[in-house]
Formats: sequence, structure tokens, C-alpha cells
Amino acid sequence: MKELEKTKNISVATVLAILVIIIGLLSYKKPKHIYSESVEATLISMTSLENVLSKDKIDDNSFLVDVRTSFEYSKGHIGNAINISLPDILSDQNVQRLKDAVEESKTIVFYSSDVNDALSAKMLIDQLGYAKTKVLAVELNYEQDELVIKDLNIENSPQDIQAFIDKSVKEAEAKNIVEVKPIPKKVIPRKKKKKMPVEGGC
Amino acid sequence: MKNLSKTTSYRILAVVFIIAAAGLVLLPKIQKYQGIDPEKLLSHAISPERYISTDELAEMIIGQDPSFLLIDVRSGMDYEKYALPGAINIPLDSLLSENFEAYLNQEEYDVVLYSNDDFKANQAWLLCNRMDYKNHKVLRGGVNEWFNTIINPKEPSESMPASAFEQYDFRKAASMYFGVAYPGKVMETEVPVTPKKVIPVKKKKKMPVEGGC
Repeated sequence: MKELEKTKNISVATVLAILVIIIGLLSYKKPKHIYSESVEATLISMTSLENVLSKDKIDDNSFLVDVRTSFEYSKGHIGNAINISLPDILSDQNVQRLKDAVEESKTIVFYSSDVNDALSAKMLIDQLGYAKTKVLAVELNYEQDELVIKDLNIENSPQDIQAFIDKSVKEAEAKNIVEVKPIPKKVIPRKKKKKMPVEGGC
Repeated sequence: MKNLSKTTSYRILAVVFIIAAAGLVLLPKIQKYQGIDPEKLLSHAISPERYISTDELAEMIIGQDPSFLLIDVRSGMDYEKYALPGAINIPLDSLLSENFEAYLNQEEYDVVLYSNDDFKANQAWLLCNRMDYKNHKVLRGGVNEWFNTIINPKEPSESMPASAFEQYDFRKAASMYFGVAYPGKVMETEVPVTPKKVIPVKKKKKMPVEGGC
């Protein structure tokens, strides 16, 4: 009798355990995209200068991807670029296109009218480990409905701002020397208070 | 005999459980590595919400808004040459260093990142966003835009709308606040110095590696 109860308890426990495992397996959803690069590794790879390409570095081996909207793409785009707009970059089809390009050992190069959008695409694809991509540093403008591509200097500082400020101060001082007049001090006459005899309480 | 087989089966069971428990220890480590969902990161990256204009920033600095930290992600050399008032220098390569985590990963202040233009600042922003740091912003156009709009604003031509003139007046006044002098104007002798905010770095005790559960 006692033995029977024991086996009963054990079987109930097993059933429960198996149930928990099954529920766990069913509710587990594998995320579609997983970062394959740690944050530290990303930081190291993104600070290297090789991430950015200039216009004349494009060759037959580069796989150009335009991350603007399809409307802007249809208005004009660089040579043989394909269009993957930034919001759709993680869709299955587009990821597959990028992976195919990697298999053909091509270099993926993102570009956009705003270089930061290209950067977002690059950082995302790099961190997910689908490819090692680059950003094209260009400025896109339209002149009489023609797309004009200009090289863009990233992170340069053409002005020495501190020097500009110092110079302006110097120039202003030179002109101001004559003009600055001492402001006369205002004197307010003080009325002398009469000393009253000390009054007591009440 | 029956008892003996029972104990061995229990032993095997115990070993299985121990191995499973060891697996649990490994699990959270893999998750730590990840950061927010890539889809979420993408949707954040698309939205232009993160940008703050130079005019807005100038107004915040002049109004001595206490609710934000200004972070310069350029190299130390650039920072020495010229930095926005009150900025703290965190070079991009040492973004993840422990000393600076107290500045970047907090919810008390908004964090405004800037660089020469906005490329490096955006890199920093994307990385911080992946790690789910809150309230990060990017100065649109960076120091170069700051120079062109605030330090050296262009005078509007006569055909421009009144708002352009108002904007110019604001920018000119702002540039004087930030130390530019114009001939003919009475100069202030003192350029106000915006104090740097210092967040005390809390030293974390090194915890032993945590297991699951």
C-alpha cells in the first residue's frame, strides 16, 4: 500500500516536470536576429577608419546599397546600386540579398543622402554578423533633376573656433579703446539720521 | 540487489541534474552579451527624435538648464583645442570604460553627444542605444554646425522672412554669451564659465559570477 502511494507520487512529479519542459519549449521563441558581435568588439571595429569609403574607391567588387526610400531611389541613384530602404533592412528577403553578396565575396557599401542613415545600416548589419560592410562618404544633391555626387569629409574641423573667438575679441578691443567711457558712479546723498534717545519698552 | 540498482539510478539522476544546473550558470552570460532587440535598435535609429539642434542646445546652456550632460566624444586633443562650455570629454575609444559608465548609463540627466560633425556622435549613440542607455541625444551637425550657426552666424539678407532675423538676433546674442566680441558693443569683461558636472563614480563591488535563478 505504502509502496503504491510512493510510485503514485513519483509519477505525478514526473508528469508535472515533463509538462513544465514542454511548456518551456513551446513558449520559447528563437529571436530572428541575434548580435554576433559583442559591444566591445563593435567599438574597436567601428573606430578604425577603414569603415568609410570615398567615391573613387568604388570598383566592380563593391556591392552598392542605397538605403533611401524607393521614391528617392527612383529619382536617381549611383550606377548599379540596389535599393534597400533602411526600415526594411532586417526583412528576410533583404538579409538574404546581403548574404548572397557576401558569398560572392563582394564588399557591401551603404550610402544615403544622410551619411548617418548609411551608418545605422552598417552598424546593424555588422553587429549581427551578416557581413563586414562599409559606408560611402558622399553628399547627394540634385541639380536640374540630375543626381550630383560629391565627396564628403567626415569629422574634419575646418575652423579653429578658439582662434576665431580670440581674434574677434582682439579686434573689438582695438576698436573699443576710444569708445569705452568710464561710467560715472552714482552718488546717492545720504540723509543723516537724527539720533533719538533710546526709548524703553511700553 | 534491488536496492543497489535503485541507488545507482538515483546517482545517475543526480548527475543529470547537476549537469543541467551547470547549463543554467552558462545561460545568462550569453544573454548579457546581447543588448536590445536589433529590430528595436533599427526603429530607434530611423527616428530623427534623437537629434537636437544647435539653437536648442545654446538656449539650454544659456538658461543653465541643469537637466543635461554634454559629452564630447572627440579625441582629447580636439577637446583641448575647443570644446562646448561645460562639456565632458569621453573619447570614442574609451566609451565603454568603467569610469564613464556613471555618466552614460543613468536616467537622471539627458545626455547630449557631439563630435566635429555628427558621425562619431552617432556611432556612440548607436552603441549606447544597443546597451539600452536612456535619454541619449545627438547634436545635429556637431561642432562645425555650432560654429556656423552660433559662433559665426550669417546675417540674413533683406528678402528673408522676419523669423530669420529673429533667429539671427538670438544667435548673435548667443555668440556674445559664448565669448565672441563685436566691435561697437560694450563688452562684458567676464565670460561666464559653465561648471562641469561631476557624477561621482560609484565603485562597484565585484560580485561573484551569478548563476541562474
